Amino acid sequence: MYRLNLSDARHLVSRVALGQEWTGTKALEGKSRAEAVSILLHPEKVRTPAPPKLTPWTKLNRMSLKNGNGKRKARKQMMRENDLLKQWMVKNLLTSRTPVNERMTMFWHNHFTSSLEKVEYPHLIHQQSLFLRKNAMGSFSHLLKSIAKDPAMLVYLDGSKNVKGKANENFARELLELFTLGRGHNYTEADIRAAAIAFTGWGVNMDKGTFHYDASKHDNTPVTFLGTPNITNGDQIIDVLLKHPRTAVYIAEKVWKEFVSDSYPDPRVTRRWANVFRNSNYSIKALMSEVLNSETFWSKRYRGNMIKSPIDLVIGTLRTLPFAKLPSKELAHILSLLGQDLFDPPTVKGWDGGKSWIDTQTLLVRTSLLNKLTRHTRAQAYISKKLPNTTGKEVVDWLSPVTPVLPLPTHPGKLRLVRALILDPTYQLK
Amino acid sequence: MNRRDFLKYASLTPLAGMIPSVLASNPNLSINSQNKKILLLIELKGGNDGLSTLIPKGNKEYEKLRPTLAIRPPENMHLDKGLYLNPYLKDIKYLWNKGDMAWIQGVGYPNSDRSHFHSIDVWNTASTNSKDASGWLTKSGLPNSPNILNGIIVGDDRMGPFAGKNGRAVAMENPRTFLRQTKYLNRDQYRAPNDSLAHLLSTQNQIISAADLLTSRLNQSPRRYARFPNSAFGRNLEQVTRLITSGVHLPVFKVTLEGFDTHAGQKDIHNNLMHHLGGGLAAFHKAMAAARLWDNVLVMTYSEFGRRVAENSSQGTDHGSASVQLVLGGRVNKGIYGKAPSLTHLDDGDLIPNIDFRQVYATISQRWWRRSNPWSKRYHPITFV
Repeated sequence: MYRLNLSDARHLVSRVALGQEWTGTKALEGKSRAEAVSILLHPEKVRTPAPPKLTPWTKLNRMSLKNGNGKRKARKQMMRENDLLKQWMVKNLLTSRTPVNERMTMFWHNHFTSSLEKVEYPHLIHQQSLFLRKNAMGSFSHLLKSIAKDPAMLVYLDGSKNVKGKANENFARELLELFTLGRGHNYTEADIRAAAIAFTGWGVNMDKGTFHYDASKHDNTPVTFLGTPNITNGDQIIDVLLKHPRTAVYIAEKVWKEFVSDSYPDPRVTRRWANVFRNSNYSIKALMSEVLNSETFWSKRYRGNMIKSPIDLVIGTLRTLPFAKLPSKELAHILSLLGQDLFDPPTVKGWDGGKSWIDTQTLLVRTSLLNKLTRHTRAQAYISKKLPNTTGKEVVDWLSPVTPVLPLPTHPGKLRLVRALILDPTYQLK
Repeated sequence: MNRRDFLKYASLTPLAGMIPSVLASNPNLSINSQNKKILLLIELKGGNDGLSTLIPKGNKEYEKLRPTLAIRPPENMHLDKGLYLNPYLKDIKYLWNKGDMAWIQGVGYPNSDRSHFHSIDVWNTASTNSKDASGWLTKSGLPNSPNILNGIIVGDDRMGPFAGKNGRAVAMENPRTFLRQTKYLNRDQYRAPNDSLAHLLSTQNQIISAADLLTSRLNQSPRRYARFPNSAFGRNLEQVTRLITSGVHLPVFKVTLEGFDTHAGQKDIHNNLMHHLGGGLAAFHKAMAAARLWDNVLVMTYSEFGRRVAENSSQGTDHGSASVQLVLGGRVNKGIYGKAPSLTHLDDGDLIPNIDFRQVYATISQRWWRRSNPWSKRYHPITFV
């Protein structure tokens, strides 16, 4: 049976965790692929991170209901707290002992997008993030059914404005286009309208910040959706979508793009993954296990061919190497300069990722940051001591996804080597 | 500038032998015919009040809705059809007389978004579809070779109309900061093992080429042709002018004039902005004319939206919809384009646009750059150039 070498272990870890911590990566060396994947997909218990210090919902709500001035004050307060929420997320990403789960949380956040910019209430985004974290490796059907009732989502895609006689199609459209079937796949504008009608009356109780079904605003007219007649509520719409074979294929394609390659997915492969996904009743763990055990994932063709996301680069580097940690506030700001403003994706489609992470602006920020992290400081001796006690070849296998393209230093010194590897353009890859 | 000189920076092939094969496919895309057509974009940030820029002097509704803000320019500011230039733009009035100035009025888009953030996205992407994040210039038929630098943005570190992986432009708050940042960038060429790294290498080379241009051309310090306003806008415009007059003929340059979000005490603020705009553009014209490049440049202003027709209680104006765009250049067809938007028939207090801004983009693609019009299905060019 094939046993992973250090470079294989790095490939796996750098794609599905956050960075490549030495001990965790080294521990997978010599394991079979299946063993290594199983270790990563079955971590210790996922801990719920302590909540950020947000003003209680009821207080904010009371403040904003008072008068125009109170409303403005509440909004300002929330904007300040949006930053706290971003810092909270940075801290999770940096310190989580279940990085695979954090990455999957980000994956679902990028699928079921919501933004602080539109939603405004940090509580609701926090709540959504906790929900995604809890279910990141669970059941996709549960995710889909619950996200339709998620208060942040109901605000973000105007579901809360979707009422009888005044259907708002925003959520229905994205449910089909972005969450399940994908653009241009077997649905019509009539299907979107039908779905919007079925979801009428699903809203948010603003006193509590929770889901609220208002029967008086629900349009009970039976509609036909994707050929299924007599549909009268949103849950039934989701059932139809979960029965549709395209949904699993669409998710498999997104998984390809996130974990395998920026290139167009191989339809034979994604169809196979989709079958496993559907047959497991939409178990995300089953899908990920299939993907990470596939020949495709391990193929030389796709090694080191993806651009690191800002989170990979910033958080990954700080988790991997013993550099001085920057304050969460600064890290959140750097992530936004690099194009990954936490909880504020650029569009409802989320972050495009791949090559679009790199433009003339972000490349300058990336290189400045890595230079800053690795420059010579007084802490050098400390950092040097914290580096793994191993050979230069192992350090290269551990940090470089492909052979570095610039010459490596000829003078000895582990820190010098690490610095050269990090500043090599190939370090931008994973 | 001869072709070889141009390719030296524009094609970014400093070490031709080491360019990875993925990049080498078409490194010398011919853009000779195009390198003489320069577009200078001027973003008026914050939402420029069209009614205080191109003024319907004496219009009864205008006077009624703008009791403290209505401007009554002197007769020598009259352009055409009862419309007057803001008096603080007097420095460029001669360009109208000369036939090198055009205005597009009532320009905007349907169901205008009143958020600065969203509306500038719409202008930047030429799309009201919120899923589209790539800049309009990447769609406008500019050279699409990875080895070519298409533009320089000075005064804003966001890519704006160049956003997206095919932007091929650099953006900077100012050249000095930019050059400091580029200090850390790898300058060595290498063979990229895959297309992700090839993209990174080409981006790196775009930055290096811009940095080299700024270092070499700006330091050559060509003759000062004209005096620019003493403001960030004036200095940035001067830098761009010096790049152009020293032979850097990229298809697009962009500078920003900030401060148009005039919710209170608008009159003095706006007049001052007009003064800087007019002074800067007059200096730019003088420099271009002296370098015999005036026929090769097209200047265009734009803003995320215009402002509410009725003034508010703080002698300011709130976010609105349609506004005006100013176009200058040796090949511009003088005139005021577009029907004047009605001041009585309003959409929720805002002007209803008569011209879609994508018609203006279409004009630039088709009539200025002589490329096909990517918006041809719905938006037709106008004849201002």
